[in-house]
Amino acid sequence: MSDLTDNSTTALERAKIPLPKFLKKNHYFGFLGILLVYLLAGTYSEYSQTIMNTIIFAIIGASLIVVFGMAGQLTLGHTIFVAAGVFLSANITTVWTRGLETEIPIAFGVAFLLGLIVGFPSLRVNELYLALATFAVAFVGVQVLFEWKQFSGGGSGKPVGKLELFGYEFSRGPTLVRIALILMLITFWVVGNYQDGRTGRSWNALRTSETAARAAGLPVAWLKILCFGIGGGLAAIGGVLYAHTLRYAIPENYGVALSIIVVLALIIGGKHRLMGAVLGAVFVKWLPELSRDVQEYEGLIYGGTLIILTLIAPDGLVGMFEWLGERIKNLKGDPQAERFSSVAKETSPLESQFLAPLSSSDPKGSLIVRDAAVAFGGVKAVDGVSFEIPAGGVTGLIGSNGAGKTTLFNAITGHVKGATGQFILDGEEISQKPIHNRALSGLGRTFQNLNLHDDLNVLEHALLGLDRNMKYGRIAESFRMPWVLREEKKAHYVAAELLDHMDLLEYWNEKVEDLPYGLQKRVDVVRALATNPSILLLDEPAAGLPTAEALEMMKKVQEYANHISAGVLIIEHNVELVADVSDRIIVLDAGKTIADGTPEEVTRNEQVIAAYLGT
Amino acid sequence: MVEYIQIAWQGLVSGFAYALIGLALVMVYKTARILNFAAGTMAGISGFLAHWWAAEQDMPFGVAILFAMIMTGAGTYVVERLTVRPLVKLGDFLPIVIMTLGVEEFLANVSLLWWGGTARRYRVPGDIDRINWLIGDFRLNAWHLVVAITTFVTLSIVGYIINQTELGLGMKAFAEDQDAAKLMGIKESTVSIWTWVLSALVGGVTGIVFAPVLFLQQDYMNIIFIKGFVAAILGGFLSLSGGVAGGLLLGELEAFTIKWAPREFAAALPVVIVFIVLLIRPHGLFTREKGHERV
Repeated sequence: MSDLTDNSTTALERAKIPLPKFLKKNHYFGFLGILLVYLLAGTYSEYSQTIMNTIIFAIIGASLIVVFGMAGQLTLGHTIFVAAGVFLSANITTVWTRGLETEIPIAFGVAFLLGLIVGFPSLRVNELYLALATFAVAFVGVQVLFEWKQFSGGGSGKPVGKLELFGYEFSRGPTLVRIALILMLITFWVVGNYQDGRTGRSWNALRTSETAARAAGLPVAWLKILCFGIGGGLAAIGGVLYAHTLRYAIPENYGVALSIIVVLALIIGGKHRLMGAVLGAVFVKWLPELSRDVQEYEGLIYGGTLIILTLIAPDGLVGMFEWLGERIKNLKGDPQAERFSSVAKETSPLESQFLAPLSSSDPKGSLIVRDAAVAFGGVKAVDGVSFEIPAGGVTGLIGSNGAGKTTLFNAITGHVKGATGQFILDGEEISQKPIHNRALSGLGRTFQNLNLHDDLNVLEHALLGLDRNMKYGRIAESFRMPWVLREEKKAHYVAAELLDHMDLLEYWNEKVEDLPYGLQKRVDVVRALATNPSILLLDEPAAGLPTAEALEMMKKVQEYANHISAGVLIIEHNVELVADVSDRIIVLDAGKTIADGTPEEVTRNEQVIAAYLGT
Repeated sequence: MVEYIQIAWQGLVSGFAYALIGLALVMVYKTARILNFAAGTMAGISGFLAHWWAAEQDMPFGVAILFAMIMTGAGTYVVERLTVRPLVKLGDFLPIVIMTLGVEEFLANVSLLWWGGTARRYRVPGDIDRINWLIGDFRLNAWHLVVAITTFVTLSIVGYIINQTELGLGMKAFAEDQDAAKLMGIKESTVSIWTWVLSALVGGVTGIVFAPVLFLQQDYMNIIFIKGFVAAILGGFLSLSGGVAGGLLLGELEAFTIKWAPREFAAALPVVIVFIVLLIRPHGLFTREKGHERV
């Protein structure tokens, strides 16, 4: 407990939320590790080959973290990017006789574009189909390479030229290891920057709940394709190095088998951490070094390890170590004491320097719904609903189960296919827009069944909502430019104040799946509030909560909505609660509006009493 | 004209393999929403066992096939119980897919260690695969006829099981609605395991009858697995008959592409088909789109 009287500090400081920095602890460890190998590379030159292979696998692993670990797209066709790097390298060094300075940008660029194409089906199909589609890509990729003799040399392959950089020729062995280490350092740094930036956050969000990510205004389609582009490009850098280690590029090496091995290696190591890529690479590349017996049973061991790890430690070796570390830490002291140390509350976070500028006296969120209709098969879930909501008002939407309330919400936000009708928000027609663009236009929503992002903590949920305020580009993010940090820091401050307002500040670092239900509901609301919506669509925010808790939460939401002058449309079963907070209530029954008026009028309406309140 | 009939027949024979594997994949996907990446390898092991026992261990061909099928069924039973079952309760399919990848890697290496990596060509008793009948200019291979008959028999048996037995009813119920089926008292684990076994047996039959057509290499079923998957996608992955029809269609497409298009294109055909189908009709060629996202 810090002192209650100190009003000068920000919520972020009181909760001791660390600000994003240019360098983290991990950076130092990673750099030291790589430096160590760099210095020792010359001493143990007999292991150069194995070290090289480990580095290459670590780079490919890092590229897979982008696609699979963060964005959650299980790809089994990752080797075609490696193959692209290998064969481009072979062609550039022999045909053009250029060095790494040409190979790496071209390999990255070509694989990036290839990745955008390979990633395309991910828009149309679920992860399961995607796994198989990419599997087929890997399979056929090799066959195409075989037949494309001019590029690949066919079955006999193609030699790789000299290792050069800007005209200087390098010997292989330890020098190549050092070059590879520098490239690995850069790759890891870039991937790490994504993990800490908005792109990585968005990828994590789309992995854990695509629906909610869309509703928060994230361009899910582009993000999905992009992960294949970036992942592919980075894998191709691994491919260039592979070409120089092997000195000979043969198509059959880059088939499905390699694709599966790189995925297995990453899963064994741990797919969410860069360290996992290293551990996986070490596991796969050093195990066969132990003895010849191991070499023979290589695949058997990988397969077996994967089976066992999937059963006992789904987050791989890294996950296992982290779990152990946690246990050891917990042995030392009571973990709970530290976890929920409550944070002193400011008098009003809305007055803070970060939330005050959002205040507006200009009401927004006028929503016009015209002839909204949704049919599932022959059932008309929403059947020609029309209403107009004035800016800044609180409107309740009630109706019995199956009356079409949530479906109407989904029609407005775009979450249901085949909805017809017109939706006009603040004078702007949004009916034809995709989900995330409607969100960007000012629709903020929560979900009836809590669409939260498991694995992400409470603060990150708020930051997801704030994503639209961060304008830095993805290239700047790759290299963590100063303005990236500046915007991230600002978003952290705003997020902390927002959490403070919703009484969630002390839980900022909790994974949402560990929180009690009532707090999860608030996280859902925070994510929507953070988008600074024109109108907030709340889908049963109080369901499952005790009335007192629900009222308290609604009070906070209303305060914030008033602060930013946003409108609120709320679906609720608890009629007292709705009547309490709304200026106006719309009643749906069997997909049609049966009443529309002030709470008093509606609760006295006989049709409503018959249809909804019962006898 | 006869040339085209010949090509069409060739396509049909390959199509049988794709159709059977497609059927096996769809079966498991439809009931349990799981994709079994080990299906190809498992089918390959069945084929290897049967032909290895028959050719190198002097077992009568029929007995070898019977034993191989029993081994396939029992092996699948064990694999499902040990690896997939513990993950089902997590309710997330990704770990299961990864698990089947691990199983694939494991089994592929077991068979590699057992039989080595060299290709061999096993004969069938009586050298049936060498008998060719000429009907006019049309050449009919006796083994291809066996393949065709086996395919029809297998499809009929699967059709019977699905339409006439309690297991089939359970499978249909789970395909329709997992939760409702559970509430109706159908035991999920029972339906799931027998679906797996049935699927593996269909795969096993495919592996056995196609081994004499292809070179028997350690991973000979992988290519058929991929194409069976393409067949399943053509059929929309949720329709058993769609999977079969997709397989036959793919066989024909492939046979005629090889005739007219350059080899690079013929090699890329499956992926081209997958991409086109996924982009234009993700729900398959034969089924109507249904369902909506619930939020």
